[in-house]
Amino acid sequence: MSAATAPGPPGPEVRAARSVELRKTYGTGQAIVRALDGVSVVFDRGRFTAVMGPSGSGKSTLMHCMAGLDRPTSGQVYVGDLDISTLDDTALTQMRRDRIGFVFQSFNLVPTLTAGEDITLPVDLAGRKVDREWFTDLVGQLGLGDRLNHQPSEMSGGQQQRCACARALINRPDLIFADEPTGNLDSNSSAGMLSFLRRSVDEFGQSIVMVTHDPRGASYADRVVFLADGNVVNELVRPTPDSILERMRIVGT
Amino acid sequence: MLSVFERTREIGLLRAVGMKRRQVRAMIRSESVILAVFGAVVGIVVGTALGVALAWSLKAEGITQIVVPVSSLTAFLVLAALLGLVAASWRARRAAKLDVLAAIAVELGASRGP
Repeated sequence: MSAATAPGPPGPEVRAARSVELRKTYGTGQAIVRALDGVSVVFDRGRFTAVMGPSGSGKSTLMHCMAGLDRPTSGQVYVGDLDISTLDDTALTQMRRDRIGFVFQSFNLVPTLTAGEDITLPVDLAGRKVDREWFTDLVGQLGLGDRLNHQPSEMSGGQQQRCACARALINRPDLIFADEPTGNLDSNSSAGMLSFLRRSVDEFGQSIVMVTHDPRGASYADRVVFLADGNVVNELVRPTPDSILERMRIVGT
Repeated sequence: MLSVFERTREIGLLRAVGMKRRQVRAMIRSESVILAVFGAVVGIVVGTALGVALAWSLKAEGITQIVVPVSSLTAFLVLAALLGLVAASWRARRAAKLDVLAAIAVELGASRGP
């Protein structure tokens, strides 16, 4: 079930995050649900990985556990070389703030903050100084320059998602987790968003994991990991929409 | 104003992107204090104005000296701030204990788990 694309055993320098025998169960006895049933997966540094699977396959649970939003029942999660399973809530929160970037499907922005304030949120929460050059660069690349003083209610869905992207990147995290980031966008905004994610991998060496059910979206990734019934059942390197669809048929997702 | 749903979602989001429990508590408390102080300031300004106006209108009755009790007004301002702090303590604790995943998954529903 190991899933490195690099030849040979993956050293720490090529891993953005990995899980070892990750299990997450809900309920007990007869009613036990195994959302994750011993998942060992590696997300490479500087790569764009898509995670696919039917609903209930455990893809969101996997993402939540690996991003430090949820605690696994057993198994380990490493972000870089840090074993996050041992961290208390404060340390885990700090880990998310400094080492993980998040893009959710919707409601990504704090309703009372302006776009500019939202983008710098992880830096401000840490009490650090914002890297103004990087901020300006990001805002420019995402075309948010004239939206910085706007609140989420004054922005389009695409602008909100781009703003979330900028926030995810502001700390140059070890890993960005994107959970159906284009789920609520029209095809134009989706394509722009996915191209930007692709570019942030190619140009800034960012590592991204994206949960999606859209084969076209997943084809922007370097690698697709397929989940079913709480396990990695297949994977595909250098995917195309067609090869993804074909693989989806094979693994029955 | 935010609805309960929006507030839950907002705090969940803030926690997800790195707000510590301690910071959540501080945020809720300071909001409450600001609100209480704002209310007290409005009350003091309006009350003082009315009081002065009343005293002024009674000039003919022989009330010639108008004294604004600055020290007790200040004391009430401080008291209001303290009450704001106390009133928020339960809410602050609850907000800090919020289940991050449940809060951000509020409307995602189907995308979570089994």
